[in-house]
Amino acid sequence: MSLIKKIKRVLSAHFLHRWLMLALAVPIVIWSVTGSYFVLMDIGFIRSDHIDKQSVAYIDTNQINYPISAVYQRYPDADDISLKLLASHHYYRIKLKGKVFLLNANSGQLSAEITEPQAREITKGFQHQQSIPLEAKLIKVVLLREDGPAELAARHLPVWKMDFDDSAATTLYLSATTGELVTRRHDYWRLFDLFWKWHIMDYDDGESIDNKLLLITAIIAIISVIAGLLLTWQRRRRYL
Amino acid sequence: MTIKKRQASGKIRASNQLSKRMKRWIKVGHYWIGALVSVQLLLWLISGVYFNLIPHDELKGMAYNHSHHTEQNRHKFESQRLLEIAPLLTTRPETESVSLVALAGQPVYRLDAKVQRYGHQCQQQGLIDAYSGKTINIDKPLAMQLASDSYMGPGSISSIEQVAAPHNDWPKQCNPLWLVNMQDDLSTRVYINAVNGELVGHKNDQTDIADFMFKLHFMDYLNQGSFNNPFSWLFGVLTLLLSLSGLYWVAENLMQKRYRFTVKRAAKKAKG
Repeated sequence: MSLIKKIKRVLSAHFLHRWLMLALAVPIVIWSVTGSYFVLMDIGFIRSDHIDKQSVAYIDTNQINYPISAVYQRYPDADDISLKLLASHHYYRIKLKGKVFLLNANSGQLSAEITEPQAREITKGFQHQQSIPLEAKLIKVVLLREDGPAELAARHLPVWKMDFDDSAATTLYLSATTGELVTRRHDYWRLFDLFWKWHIMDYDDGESIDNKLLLITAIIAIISVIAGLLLTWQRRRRYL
Repeated sequence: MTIKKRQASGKIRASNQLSKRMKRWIKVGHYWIGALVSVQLLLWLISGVYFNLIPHDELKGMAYNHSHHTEQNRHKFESQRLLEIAPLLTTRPETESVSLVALAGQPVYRLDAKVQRYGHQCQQQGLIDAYSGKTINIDKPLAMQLASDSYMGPGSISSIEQVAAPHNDWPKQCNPLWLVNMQDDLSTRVYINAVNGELVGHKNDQTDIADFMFKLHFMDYLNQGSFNNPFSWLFGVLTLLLSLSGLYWVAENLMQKRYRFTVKRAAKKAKG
């Protein structure tokens, strides 16, 4: 008799909700804080779609004296060849075995690595009203060759890391071989990435959503929420 | 009964009227918000468990997608036949970038009037045959070939049609697409971008479930392809209040030693 009573008690909505939520209160608060952050912050802002060049420059055909057929002949194994403008110069951009580099489209010469003044000049193009504010100042400019921070994929190296002093601590990463903006970060994005790890409960690299901790916590949470749902019915007289 | 008891213990602890009323409101709030969001909370958890259990390839429609499994096969072009770019641009002065790409094994120049950050944005692109200089349109036969090249399943093409945005399967996609239906066990649908010939992706019976789960998880009930929507704003904030009031309740239970009391009694009973 007492055993049945005990089982009944343990399986009651009240007992389950109270006891399971003792363990789950913190994970559920984390889910709801991070989830609210994701939905309330516009994802376009987080990925900083607003950081863009102000105007489009078009290719000037007089500046292309080195033919693309010659480029292809030199690099027949290239994964990708394109012709584009960078800081008002014309280049062939070549991707070969994961590495990207530039050829001057006028002379066909391999382009030298982007210098610091060039990197600063390119960065200026991203400072305008809709993007990084004009008042923001570059507080740190470093060339990273071997190791980058975790927020930068290693395949982009070497890069110029351009740190601004704006309130969001914006960083632009410019490829040192092509001068392209390879990625960008600001504190709202960094927080988003951190919250993502917490949301999927992957505390090492934040990349595997299929981890056991998340599965077990979510399944217990389902039981516990169902118990809570039953409780709202059982306790209706107390709150109506 | 229990309310009276709680009130009595509150008096003993000499908590003032205001905080007592506050505590009561936290619990009333927890009850009513819980009643309101519990179903969505269950949907979040169930879809979350689904994402946890289902392999990534199944969520993304990679079952019969060729691009995932093989290295991009290099196409060898005849370099001496590649046309100069400059003459091709005289009739298209507004070009920001030109890329040499392979389309069904043939060299093609892709002209971008404005390079977009995302493939789903409206592309301002034109395609030119790099050997002949002729403009290329992604027509039905070419779309069928591109779709077959991307496909490694057992089926064959059963039908093909061009569809304009908005696309049910790709809510954010702005470009017109070729929808190529495959006759296979998963009812695979291959989507080719009708502007530039790029593979948008595969959809099938597996992704239909996955996309439905994403819709539930993101509360994307208007099919905007985004979790930034009024439903999730409201329910996100309400759930935040629910969980914080619940956290308070757990803390109160701990301080009032409600958990220990239960354990003790159960232990005593077990001994007896």
